[in-house]
Parts: sequence; C-alpha cells; structure tokens
Amino acid sequence: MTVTSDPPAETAALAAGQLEGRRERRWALPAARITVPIAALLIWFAIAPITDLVPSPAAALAELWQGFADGWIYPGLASTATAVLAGFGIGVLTGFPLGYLLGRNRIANRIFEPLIAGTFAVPRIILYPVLLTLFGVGLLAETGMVAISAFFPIIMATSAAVRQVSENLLKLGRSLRANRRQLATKIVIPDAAPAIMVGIRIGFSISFIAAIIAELFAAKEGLGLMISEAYAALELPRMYAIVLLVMVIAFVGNILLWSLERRLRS
Amino acid sequence: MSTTAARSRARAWPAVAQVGLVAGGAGLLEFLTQSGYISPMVLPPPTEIVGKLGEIVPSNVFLDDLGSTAITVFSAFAIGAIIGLLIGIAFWKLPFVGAVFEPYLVSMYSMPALVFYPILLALLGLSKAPIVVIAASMALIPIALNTMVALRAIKSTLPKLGTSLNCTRRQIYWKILAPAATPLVVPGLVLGFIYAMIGTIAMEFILASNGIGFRIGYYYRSFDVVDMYAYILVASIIAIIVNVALNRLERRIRRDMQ
Repeated sequence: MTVTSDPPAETAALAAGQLEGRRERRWALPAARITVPIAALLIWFAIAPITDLVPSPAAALAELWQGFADGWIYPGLASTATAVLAGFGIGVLTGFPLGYLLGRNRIANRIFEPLIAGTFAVPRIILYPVLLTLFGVGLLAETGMVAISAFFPIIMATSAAVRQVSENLLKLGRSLRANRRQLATKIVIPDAAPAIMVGIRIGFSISFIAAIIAELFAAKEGLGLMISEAYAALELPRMYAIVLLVMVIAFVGNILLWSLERRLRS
Repeated sequence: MSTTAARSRARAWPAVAQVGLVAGGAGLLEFLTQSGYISPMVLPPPTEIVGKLGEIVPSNVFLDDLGSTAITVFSAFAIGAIIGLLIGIAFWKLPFVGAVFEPYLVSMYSMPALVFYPILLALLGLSKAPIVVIAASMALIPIALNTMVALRAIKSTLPKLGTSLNCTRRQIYWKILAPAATPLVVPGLVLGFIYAMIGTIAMEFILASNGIGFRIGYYYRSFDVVDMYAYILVASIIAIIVNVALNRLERRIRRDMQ
C-alpha cells in the first residue's frame, strides 16, 4: 500500500552509507544519534522545575527503581506480559497459517483479502467492549483484544509475502517433485520469511499497544491500569515511571525482533 | 455483448461471495440470538441493532459526536500533514539530520505514543487538545517518511533539466519536484489520515467527554448493549467507507501522475 509499510531500514542504511563515504564523519552519525535521547532527557530536566505537572526525571526513575525494589510493579508487569504474549501467540498461530492459505489460494484470496483490507482503518479497540461483555473484565478479554489486534497485520503480511514468492522457484520445486509440504517448508516459507517477519514485528508492537489501551479502559491488573490509577490519584512520578517502563519494553522488544528480521534477510 | 457480460460476471463473483458471507454471518447471528443460544445481554439480534442504528443516526447526540470526532480528526491530520511534510523535506535537504532522526521516527511507529495520553491529559486537561496531539503525532510519521523517500527517489536529471531550461527555484520546486514526488507522497497522506482517525477514536474510547469512540465506552459502562453495538457498527462503517474512498482516490491520483 505504501513505501513505508516495509520500514525504511534500507533507506536509513543508504543514507548512512552515503555519509560514511566521507571518512571523517564515520563516528559522527552514531554520536549524533545518541545525543537525541540525551537531549530529550535534558529538556525533561529543564521543564520539570517550571511546572508541577511534570516531575523531574530523577523522581520518575527513583519511583521506577522503588517499583522493582518494593515489588509493586511486578503484578501489573506480569499481567500485561501474560496478555501480550498469549494474545500475540494466538495472533501468530492463527494469522500465519491463514495468511499462508490466503497467499497460496487465488479464490480465497479474492474473496477474503478485500474484506480484511477494508477493515484496516477500523480501530480494533472498539471491539473491546464486546470482549468485555463476553468474558468479563480480566485477562481473558484483554488477551482476546491483543490476539485480534495482532492477527490482522500478521495475516496480511504473510499473505503478501507468500504471494510474491517467484513462480520460477515454485516451478523448480515442482520439477524436483516436491510435494505440497516440501514446497511450503523448503521453498515458500524460507523465501517469504523476511517479509513475514516484518508482519510479525508489527504484530508484536501492536499487541503491546493494544494491551496497554485495553488496560487503560478496563482491567483488573496491568501496567495500563496502573497508569490510569496513577493519573486519577495524580501520582505523577509513578505515572511517568510506568510510561517510561512501557516505552523501554516496546523499544527493546522491537529492536530484538528487528535484529531477527535482519538476520533472516541476510 | 455476451462476452462483456460474461467478463463482468467473472469480475463480480468475489463481490457476490463477500456479500453472501457477510449476510450469512449476520443471518447466523440473528438465528442464534433469536433462538436464545446467545443471550441478548451478550449480543442483541442484529436486526435490533440495525433498527437502533436508524434511530441513532438522525439523533442530535450522534451528529454532535460525529462532528466532534470529525473536527478532531481533521485538525490532527492538518497539523500532522504540515509537520510531516516539513520534516520529510528537511530530512531530504539535510541527509545527515535525516539519518540521525530517522531510526527514532521509524521506532515511533511501534512506540505506544498512546501511553503519553494520560500525561497529556494531566498537562492539557480533558479537552480535544491531548487527542489532537496524539493523533497528529501518529499521522505525521508516515507522511514524513513517505515524503522523504519520495523526494530522495527523484532522479537528479529532473531538476537539472529544469536548471538548463532556466527555471526559477520556485518553478523547480512547484513544477518539477512536487509533481514528481506526488505519487509517493499521497499514500503517506492517506495512511496519515487513517492513523489520525484510528488515534482519535481510540483516545476518545479511553477517556473523553464526547465523540464516537467515547460513546461506545459510555454505553458499555451504562450497560446499554444495543446502543453500544449500534455505535460499534456505525464507527466501523464510517472507518471502512473512509478507507475505501481514500484508497480509490490514491489509486486515481497515482494513475494520473504516473
């Protein structure tokens, strides 16, 4: 649909490569990149004394440290992690095989792909009340929400990735008398793997976001619930601490999946 | 004559199958709810939801919500588009700055920017402002990235041609670079608009004082199951129509430009 659906890692690499051409600048890019979060932190430090609504980074980090030392963060962290991992797992286990079918079967593709693509702009979170009425407030509804959110990017990416496997490779496979399973495991999936991984990475990010939004709306436990409780009680250092933790987890998870994706590509 | 009819029939069969699937699914749910297999507290009969929809759509509450959501989406998109285009142009003009910030911009895709919502609520209060900020920040990312990629993809011969034809700077920008970049910029704008809409409805759903997303959560909390489903349905229909319309527009513009 767009050029950015496959994140512009290559263009970044390209730009970096162009810059590295100038030898003296080779260290400059990583150095400049590192200064960005440092600058953000400094701005945060500078803003904090001006307004009561922004606690200092030190206060937020101390609160976060306390969360781990005293243990108040663990129940919420564990609950969110359970919902994300279980829901994401369901999303992969359903989205990947169905996406494979959709990519390989032309009839199924022509019927279902427009239906799925048409709902792209529907915010999945509006289905959360349906899950809440079905399962009640709790981990089950939240896991369902995560699974639905992860399912769509994974099925779409898998279908597109499988479809762009070259016809020549498939012909080669058939001429070597590969059966259906061998075609799938030895040719189609390995060839489509990097593009499928893009969908899985996006699915993971969306899983995490979905869990947090769901918890902000209604949950028994979780980081999102803790954020909204801290907001309601105006415990700002705690609110900033949890938001910081959520960002770090999302960032690290994304980096890990990204490096896996790059390994598959090379 | 008969061949064109056959061809259009051949093209129409997936649509027929799709309508059949949706209608069949609705019919099945109607049967399950009417016969009591599914409690009306969990899912009211689809006909009842659609009937409620007919009541809701002309009502003032709905029109106010729709207007409020539309204003939020359009302002978020306008802000996101302006900032996104400027960032895209800046990253193209200054490749070093682009290379420095690009990984952060890309990772904002996966960052739950939405978790800043409570912070913005604390800072800006329970108004449209925090929603506009979040939705605009979601919209600007694809717009900035696509603009940058679009400008970088322009062959250097094009502006050179302009210079050799004695074009002014302004002419090179408006008559050469802008049209050449359009086929890739437009998908970014489309995606940006959709993100603005998703962000707005999702934020309204979490916490707001009006809007379509807010109303869904409101009816859930007041146990008005029929109204809740009717609002979920109308929000989905609006999102689907916007998506389909924008994709058509995008394809048309790209076809005209290429």
